[in-house]
Amino acid sequence: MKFLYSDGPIIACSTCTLAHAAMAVIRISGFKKLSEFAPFFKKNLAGPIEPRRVYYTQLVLQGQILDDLCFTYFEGPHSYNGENILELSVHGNTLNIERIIDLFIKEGGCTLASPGEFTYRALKNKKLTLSQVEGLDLFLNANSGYALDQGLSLLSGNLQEAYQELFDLFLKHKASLELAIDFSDDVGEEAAKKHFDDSLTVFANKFQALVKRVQPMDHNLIQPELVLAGLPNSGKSSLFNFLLSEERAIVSNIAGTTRDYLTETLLIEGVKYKLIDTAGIRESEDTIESEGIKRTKKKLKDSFYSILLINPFEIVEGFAELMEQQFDLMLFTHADLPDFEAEKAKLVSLYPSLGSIGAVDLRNPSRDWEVELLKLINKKYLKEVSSKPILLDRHKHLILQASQVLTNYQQLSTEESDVAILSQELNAMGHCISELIGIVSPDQILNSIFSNFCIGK
Amino acid sequence: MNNFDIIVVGGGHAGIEAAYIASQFKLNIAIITIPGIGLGSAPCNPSVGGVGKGQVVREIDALGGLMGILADKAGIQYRTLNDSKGFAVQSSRVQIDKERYSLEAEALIATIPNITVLREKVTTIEHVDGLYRITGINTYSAPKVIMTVGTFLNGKLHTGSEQSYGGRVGCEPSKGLTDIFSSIKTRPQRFKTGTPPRLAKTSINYEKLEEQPSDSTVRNFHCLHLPFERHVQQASCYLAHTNEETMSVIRANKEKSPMFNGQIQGVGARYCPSIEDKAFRYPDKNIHHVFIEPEGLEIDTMYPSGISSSLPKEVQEQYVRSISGLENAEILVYGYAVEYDVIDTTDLNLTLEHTELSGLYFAGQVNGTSGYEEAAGQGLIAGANAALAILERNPLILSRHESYIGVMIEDLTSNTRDEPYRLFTARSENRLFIREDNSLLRMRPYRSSLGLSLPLDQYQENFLTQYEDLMNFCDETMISEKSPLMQQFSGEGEQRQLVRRMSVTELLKQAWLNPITTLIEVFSHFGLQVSYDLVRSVAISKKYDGYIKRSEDQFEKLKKMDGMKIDWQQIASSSNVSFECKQRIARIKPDTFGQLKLIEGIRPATLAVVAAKAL
Repeated sequence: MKFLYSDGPIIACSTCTLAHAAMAVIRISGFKKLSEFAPFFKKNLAGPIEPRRVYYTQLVLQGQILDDLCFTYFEGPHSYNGENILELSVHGNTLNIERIIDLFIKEGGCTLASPGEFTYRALKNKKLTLSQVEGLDLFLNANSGYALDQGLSLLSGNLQEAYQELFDLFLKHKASLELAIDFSDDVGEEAAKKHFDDSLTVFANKFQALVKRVQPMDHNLIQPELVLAGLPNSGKSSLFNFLLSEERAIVSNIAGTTRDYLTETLLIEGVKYKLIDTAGIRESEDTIESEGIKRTKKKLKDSFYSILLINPFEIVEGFAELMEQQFDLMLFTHADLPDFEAEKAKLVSLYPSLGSIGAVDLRNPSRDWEVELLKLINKKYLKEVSSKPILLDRHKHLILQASQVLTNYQQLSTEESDVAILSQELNAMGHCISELIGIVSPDQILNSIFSNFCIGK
Repeated sequence: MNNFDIIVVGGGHAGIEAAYIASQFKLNIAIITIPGIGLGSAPCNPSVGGVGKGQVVREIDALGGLMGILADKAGIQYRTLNDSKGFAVQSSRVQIDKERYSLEAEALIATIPNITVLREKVTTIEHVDGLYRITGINTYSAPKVIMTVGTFLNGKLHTGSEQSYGGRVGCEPSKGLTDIFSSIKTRPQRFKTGTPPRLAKTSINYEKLEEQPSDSTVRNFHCLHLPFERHVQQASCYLAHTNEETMSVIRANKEKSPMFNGQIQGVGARYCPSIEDKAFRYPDKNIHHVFIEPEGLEIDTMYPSGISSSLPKEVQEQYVRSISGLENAEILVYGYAVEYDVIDTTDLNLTLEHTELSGLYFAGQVNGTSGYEEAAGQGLIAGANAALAILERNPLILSRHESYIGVMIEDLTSNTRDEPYRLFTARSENRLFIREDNSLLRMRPYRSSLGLSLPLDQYQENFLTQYEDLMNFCDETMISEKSPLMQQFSGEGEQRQLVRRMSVTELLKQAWLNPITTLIEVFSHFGLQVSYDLVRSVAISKKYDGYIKRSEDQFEKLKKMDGMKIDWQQIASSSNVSFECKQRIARIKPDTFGQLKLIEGIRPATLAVVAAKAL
């Protein structure tokens, strides 16, 4: 990340540039004086410009007007990232945007901002903490109302407060240990021991509450995956297209058409899912297909919600293996064909666990079953977020790591009489919590966070 | 002859250490001390050592200092603190006969021909032509001066509303010294320390107290002394407790306490609280320990440790007599508090030389520390460095990762303190390594760098060679699981069975075995005659080996982060940092993340904000 070390003025369009829009916002950050840009504006920038006030003027190049625009000047340190920032509200034609950005790069000494560079500078200038940056990332990329809320809560420092409270309790417990070493004569052995036990209990309780919020989940709630699986020709691609109401997957009745998996975004009641159509699971000579099968199994494992489609007319030998996987829902297809009930009954007698599953006819013009299906999926999502899970992987990872350290420490504290050794084990806990707060922030953390950002943020 | 190489001002614990170590370089040393007080006198508690401090005394001893020798010679009650808490935090403490201690100090210094003791009160110090000129009755000069003036810098005593000037009871203060040193920054905040009332030995009912006899298994401090020899008759300490009545007497007299009615402005140490502090800071707690300690075999007072006070005399009498066993106690000397000036130690470098006044060193309580051991440790460092500077040799600087003295000096010189500084084991990041049992091993390279060859040096060299041989022996010697020796080490329970061949080193790491007694058995099995000190050093070193390696790894990680340069001005002006933190940062001006972390009262939030820039 080269930008970690650059500090010259940067420019980017902070709004969407993919299509023409009525207007766009271009942001320039990190210049020394506003008057540097005086030649580009009709309004006299050397005159008094009040920060945080909107001015209307024209952008000019050698006497020629380029655009009509409004600008707002934010004077550092009272700006988003602590630097001087100039925001231009320009007309949203993509050519116009490019031309203006070009002007500032060629004539104004600006460089095009890297993804996340504005925010990085906010971090650097201590306008945001690491946790807040993570919150912003989550907020800007939120797939659901819940992720949006958690992003905002991180941004306003709520989770950070919880961590700091934890850190304070950790310090109290650490102090009780030091008390037992350095002041046992003053406080007495018994009082010191009680102090130690009590402070450990309080800390552990507080910590357990946090651990509950990061209970390991095989799937990701930031971008929950909805996976369709089944034997070849069981109707996965049909359902996929049906849900999306468009012909996205190649539908044919030749088994094994979908070699790799296809993905699309599916919106259910405000939550964005990644809908995945997998290749049929089947042993195959075809290398591409067997690779697809391998990926399918992996997809199933990571999925938030998985649906097994069953065509009772085409049960081949791979079915038993498939039944070993975990599914949230099973759907019978081809219910419109004659003998469906008989075939289904045959199958159910072989696999009794299938008995309670209803049949679906995708060609049924009534969409009642679809409403039912989507409800089931969303019900699971709402249930999972009701425990207020912490979504950020880095936090999850650290909390689980600290949880392991705590378990070891609690065990050790009952066995080890050497207090100095105990204290050293406790330091490992302090390290985890420090990282959680962001006291320790190795380059990789910054890298992984900023790689999610888009230009202009 | 009035010209010396080094003049030490003050004959307390810092002063005599400074003079003693400097004298080993064959330089001409003078100690100027206030007439009427013996060298190395102990105006406060009658003990040497304690948690963290015991380690310091052994470090001083291994570096060629005085304190261990004197403490052994005057030791009347020995105890190991934290006995059950692991070797790393175990510390020795010796109650000393104060009279004896000072007499031994006088006698020992008197045998050293190149130390002159001058009993005069210093009135002026001038710096002329690269020499310091010190005037008391006569005028003396030296290129290097070590100031160890204790609490005598503008000292003021308080007992109730009675106030007098002095560094301790019965002595006038060195008032002039502050005038002389107008060019030296003292801290605007004065410090305060206190002592308890002294009780007549015969007026205490010992039946009602818990006796704590001397422990004969505690090793003497001085490495050349026989480990368990006692030089004087042993005595006991006694444990008493305050009660509800004691504390209510104190609480009822709040307005009479100079500390709480505004008469005393100085700041005392939180961890060495007066009984008033305890009463008002912990209003729910009425039972506090009071250790009744003999001040000397021939001295007719006992020192009740834990109830220091500056309350009026009649209140002191009332609360003392409320304690079970002290109902008829007679107070011979009343408790008092002393307020005094301390210098700003951030103006000193790691040799304890003043950064602006070259050749002038400071050590001891004038640097804002409390405790005889802390003072002595600084005295030794200042003395050795003054001598090394005269000889134009490399300075003696102890790393904080190898010694408590190093921890203390780095803490003092890198940071301004809000209260008197006392060493705790918690101040060290490397507690598992900085132990009493390996002091000699830790200090040998430093002692060796002084280039001296006294009997101490020969003893240490010899010790080190044997230590290394024995460490190798432990690594290389394998014991079969079938050996009767091994079977005797198997403990109860399945996990404590020794069912395979292992090295002695591995054996010593078994959690249920005491490494010292185990190694003694092993050596005797192999017919090796090894001294107690060697067995102890080897056994405990092996026991901690793995833990220390892990601790070093942790430390390496921290060091990387701590070395990160920071811009304190930017932090102090950031809107994301609390006002209190900003003030502290602006005062200390930290250059690195590590220094920032060391500032007392810095919130994790501030560290997080700063660390976010860590690249």
